[in-house]
Amino acid sequence: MIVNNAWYVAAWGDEITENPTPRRICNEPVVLYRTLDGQAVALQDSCCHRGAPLSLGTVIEKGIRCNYHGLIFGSDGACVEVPNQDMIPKKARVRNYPLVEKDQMLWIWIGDAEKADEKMIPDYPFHNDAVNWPHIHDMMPVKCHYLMLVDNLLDATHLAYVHPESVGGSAPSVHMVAKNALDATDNGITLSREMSNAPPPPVYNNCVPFPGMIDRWQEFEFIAPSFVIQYSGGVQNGEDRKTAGAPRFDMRIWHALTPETDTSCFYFWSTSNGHETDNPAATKKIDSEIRKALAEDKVMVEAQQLRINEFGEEWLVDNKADAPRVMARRAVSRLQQKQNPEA
Amino acid sequence: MSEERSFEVKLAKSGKVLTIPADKSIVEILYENDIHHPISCEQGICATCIVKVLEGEPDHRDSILTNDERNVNREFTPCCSRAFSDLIVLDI
Repeated sequence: MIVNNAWYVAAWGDEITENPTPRRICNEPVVLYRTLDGQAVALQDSCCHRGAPLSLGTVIEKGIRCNYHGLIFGSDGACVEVPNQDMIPKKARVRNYPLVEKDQMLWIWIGDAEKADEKMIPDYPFHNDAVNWPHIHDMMPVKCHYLMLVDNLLDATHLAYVHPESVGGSAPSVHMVAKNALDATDNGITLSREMSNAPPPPVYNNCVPFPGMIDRWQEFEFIAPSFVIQYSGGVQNGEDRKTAGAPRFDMRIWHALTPETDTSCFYFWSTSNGHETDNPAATKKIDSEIRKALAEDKVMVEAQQLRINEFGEEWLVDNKADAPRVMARRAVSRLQQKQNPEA
Repeated sequence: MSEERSFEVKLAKSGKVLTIPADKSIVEILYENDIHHPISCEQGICATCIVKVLEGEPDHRDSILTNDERNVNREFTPCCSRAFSDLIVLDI
């Protein structure tokens, strides 16, 4: 299910320049670009003259110029110039999508523009806090339904199987017996897990060598339709998580899944370093370690999507570990009903 | 966990009343009576079996319903949940 009346991350702010970028979002072809004065714009990626993609066009002072026959469109999507013609038909316009730049991301609203309320955009101030939470961000296209990655993020029992060499790295039993707290919120769920006296997973040890067993925590907030805010870390077994100094591991991960089509999405993530904030190499190390884990997930969920394409989902049987993802999907359904009451 | 108790379920659509013994679930008794209510996980996770409670006091045993769903919408998972009242009326 794709909720059209919702904000999605269309791009990282620094991805989009004066060179137009094509990106399909919620099944609609969109062109993203910046005007010469730096304003980010999202338009339907098709010229209203002969349908050519505007993403093959050029940004000039008056707007974006289609490079088939030279029509120019302003940031609101209205045609402002037709070469060799004085009259500009009123109908000559392309769709403009609400686009907001916030927390280093460009947020797009694909559905009814009059419902687009900026206050609904989740806050992630850590992206702007380079002193306390230096971060690295990126995007990865994944060929699966966007909610399959939400499922994956809210399911810890796959860690030991998919990620034994990265973020898992413990016997399956450690993940199965973790102390879990799962709660519904107005617009999603919160999930926290605590694993005490657990072996540090390879990612933690590669970043911060721990001499022995650790106490680990993972806190997730899911915000419908597609955002997972994660805070994970570990301290030496028995130390107080709030006050313990080194060796400790503190990491925040932002996960935003944007539907491309019904079976593909864009995965926008960032990793923030909270334990060695003045060491860019440590920030880079976390990024490279988490990147490995995301690549491991990608292999599994893309293969899973192919089977789901073939056999559907109706016959699948949930187990105990599916409670968070089922709650998350129900939150998405509630959002869909709220935003599209007529549907 | 305290010992389970027996209670009765009334199916609103047919008016049928079934007794749920202490050692069986609502959906087990539905199946024994050839009422094939959809189920999947059988432990209150998947939301497949959700029905509305029309009357009675439910004893929720699921892991996924929100407070609003329980209190406002009176939703219920008959695969694992039971009743505190002697009779519960379900929208089946």
